[in-house]
Amino acid sequence: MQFEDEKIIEQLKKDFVDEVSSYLEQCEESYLKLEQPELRVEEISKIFRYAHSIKGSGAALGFTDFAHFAHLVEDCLAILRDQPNLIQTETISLLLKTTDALKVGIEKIRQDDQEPWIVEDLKQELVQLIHKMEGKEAAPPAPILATPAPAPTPVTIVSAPAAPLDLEIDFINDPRFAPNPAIEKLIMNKAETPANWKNLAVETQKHLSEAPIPLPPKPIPQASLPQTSVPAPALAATPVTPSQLVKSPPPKLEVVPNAPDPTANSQKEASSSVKIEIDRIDGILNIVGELVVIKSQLMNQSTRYQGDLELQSVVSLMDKTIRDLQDKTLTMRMTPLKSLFLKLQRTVRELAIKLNKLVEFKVSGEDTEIDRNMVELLGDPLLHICRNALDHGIELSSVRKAKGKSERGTIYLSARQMGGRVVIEVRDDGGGLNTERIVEKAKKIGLLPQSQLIGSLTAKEIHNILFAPGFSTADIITDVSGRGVGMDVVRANIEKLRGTIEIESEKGTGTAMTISLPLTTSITDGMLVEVGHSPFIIPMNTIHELVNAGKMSTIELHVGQKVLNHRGKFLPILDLRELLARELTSEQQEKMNSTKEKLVQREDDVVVIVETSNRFIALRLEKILGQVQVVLKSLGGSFNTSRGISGATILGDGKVALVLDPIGLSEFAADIEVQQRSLKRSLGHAA
Amino acid sequence: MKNPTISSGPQGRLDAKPGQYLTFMLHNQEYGVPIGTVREINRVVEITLVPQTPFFVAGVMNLRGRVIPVIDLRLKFGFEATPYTRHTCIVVIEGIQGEFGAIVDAVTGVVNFTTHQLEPAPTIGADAHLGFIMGMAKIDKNVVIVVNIIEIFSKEQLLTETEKKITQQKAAA
Repeated sequence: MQFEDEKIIEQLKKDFVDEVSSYLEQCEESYLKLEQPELRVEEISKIFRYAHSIKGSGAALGFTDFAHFAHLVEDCLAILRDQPNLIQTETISLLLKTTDALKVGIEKIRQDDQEPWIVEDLKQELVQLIHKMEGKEAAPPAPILATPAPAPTPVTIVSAPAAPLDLEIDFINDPRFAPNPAIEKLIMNKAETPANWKNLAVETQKHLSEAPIPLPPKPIPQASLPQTSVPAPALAATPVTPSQLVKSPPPKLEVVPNAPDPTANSQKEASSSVKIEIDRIDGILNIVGELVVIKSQLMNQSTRYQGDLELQSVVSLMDKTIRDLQDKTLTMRMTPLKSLFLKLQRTVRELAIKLNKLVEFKVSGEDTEIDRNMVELLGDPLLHICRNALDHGIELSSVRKAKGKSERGTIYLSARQMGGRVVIEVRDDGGGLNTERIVEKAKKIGLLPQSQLIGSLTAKEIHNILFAPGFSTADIITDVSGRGVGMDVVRANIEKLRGTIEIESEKGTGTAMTISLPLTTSITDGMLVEVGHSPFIIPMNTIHELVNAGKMSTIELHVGQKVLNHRGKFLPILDLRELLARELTSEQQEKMNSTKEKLVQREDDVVVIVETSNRFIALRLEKILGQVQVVLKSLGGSFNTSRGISGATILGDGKVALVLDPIGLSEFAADIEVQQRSLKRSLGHAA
Repeated sequence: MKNPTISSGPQGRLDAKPGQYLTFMLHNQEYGVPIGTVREINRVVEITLVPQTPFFVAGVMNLRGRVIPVIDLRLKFGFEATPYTRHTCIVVIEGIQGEFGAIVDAVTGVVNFTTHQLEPAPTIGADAHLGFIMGMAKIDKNVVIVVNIIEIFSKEQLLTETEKKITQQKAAA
């Protein structure tokens, strides 16, 4: 039974963590909306409800310090709810900080982290804020009974006139009550209808009498007490036991009406969606992948029975159904960009305050869905672009005014689906790219020859300079941006997701960065090629051109290093057979090139020109077998060091084909060259 | 080309626990691996070569829609490569970093080893190559070498010669 209980508690805890996490996310979203005065009243009451629910369920499960903190936040929100005009930027920042702290707290609970959750500083700040705001409140001091309690949990038990006992018990703030979540839970669950109050009183009494605590009643000014048969001072002198207290008939519980229960809303949502662990979805995806392979094997087999029309129709029906199934399962991995956009919004807001810039962050298309894995990998590049837009793009409001623009800048983050791709755009209405400065800087650090004229460069060429490693035009390196480790990493990350990034900019009116990504990383179009009798896949999006090897001219720079003269441009050319055969044993090489002469380049070889990070590389290989759509698979944990190979896929006939990674290949080729050179040098020294 | 069986030493480690072991042949010697590590036994299927991998890695195979690495245990143990026969099998092992296949000459069976059948592995100085021998088991006159097959497929064991050199250089610098 003990085990069962533990399981239930574990489940409750998990539900609590999930629930609170989603509340916190919604809180964060609402906090950010508080910036707009017209939304304040609505949003603050929303947040209040969330904070209240967090506190309630936290207390019910015995996470007392968590509940206490949430309670403090709730107090603060209660004041703001009544006086929305007290909301200031600092207030929002502080409240956002509390959300972060609660997130840390919930993470600790999730991981069963026994380390103490330190929020004392933040608590202090909150208390200060509350005091400050209370000081500002011009409202006349309300009589004790009429003071609106900030939350339903601080229950005021007030005697009816007949029983002249006036005591105020604050269940939350009184530390003696803090460790008794059972009472809180009771009140939370049952104090909703007057009919329950009596039962509640009885149950509360039971709990209290189990652990009787002498309760010295708060001294109440004589004047405020109504005339009674029992003299109040006498009462104050005798310690009242809890049982006495609750017995005093008839108890009346004053409960501040709860804000509309947010669970009603979330339950409605819950009915239309089910939470599934990602492992399960991946499991299903794997099985569907297997099914697809088996299907294509079966289809290959069925071609032998061309005459059997019934078989053919069943097979084609199965083909269609499995295709549908595959599409549907792939969409299960999709998740909206919303949470990522929210994070960006938050960062931009904080940065804007730091940089003292007025900016409005507009978001659209946050419901656009994208593969779950990609959302994680997309975070850093997008954050970087947004930072740049704010730091380099948006001007200070004084500058904007002088230019005749609106004082407040705008950063517009949008996402939409276009065909099989997702397009994310970050647009700002700032100063645009300063092309002269970029070219000047590029000359300075040697990216462009000194003699280069700006006029001879296309806009695209200038924009590409931004993606060069180490490039930055910022004169002062701030902690925001300007270290020049940004844009090249951004591009590399996006290319890793098989996406592209483009810049569009007009001086004086703003810059737009457009990222285009495939919907999912797990399926890709590829060119099936043959190298040394083994099948390989080259990702379709990297292929620029196919050329017949017989018709091109190559120049040998020195041994092993060849360049291809392709319409006046010189591209490095890599022979895939040589490259891939390196590090293979003689037996493996033999297997790969069944006869030695196969390594010899032939006239009918094909050259595939691939474009990566704006560099062109020519790959020489034997044969192109066709275009295929492939499901990408990892090579397994231990093989990740294999450069030039990004994964594997299973072909229709069940064979495994390796997927080439052109960036890795070119790096690998460059490394080999360096190795050879250093080898030569050391040989030279030895001689 | 050292055959671990002919080496003998005073006292080595005995990591092997009594229990069931899958036994297989490799270069006329019987080896055993704990049955718990074995997922399944397959016939040899088509194996795709992977460039830039150590010589003993045969490549990758398709295990019902999953791509898993395959090592040639003959090459790993320093024996000569031989053509595959109809007895050649791929033993699929559940490793730390996922499943992998190991090509063996033939699978002989499942044997239960008791405590007094198991002997510690022989030691010859501090020979690191014997690190994956967990112990020796005696069946009548035959000896079964119990190996820690998961160790064979660990990360550093999989580095290519060039990569090893690079890491050494880095360490030196």
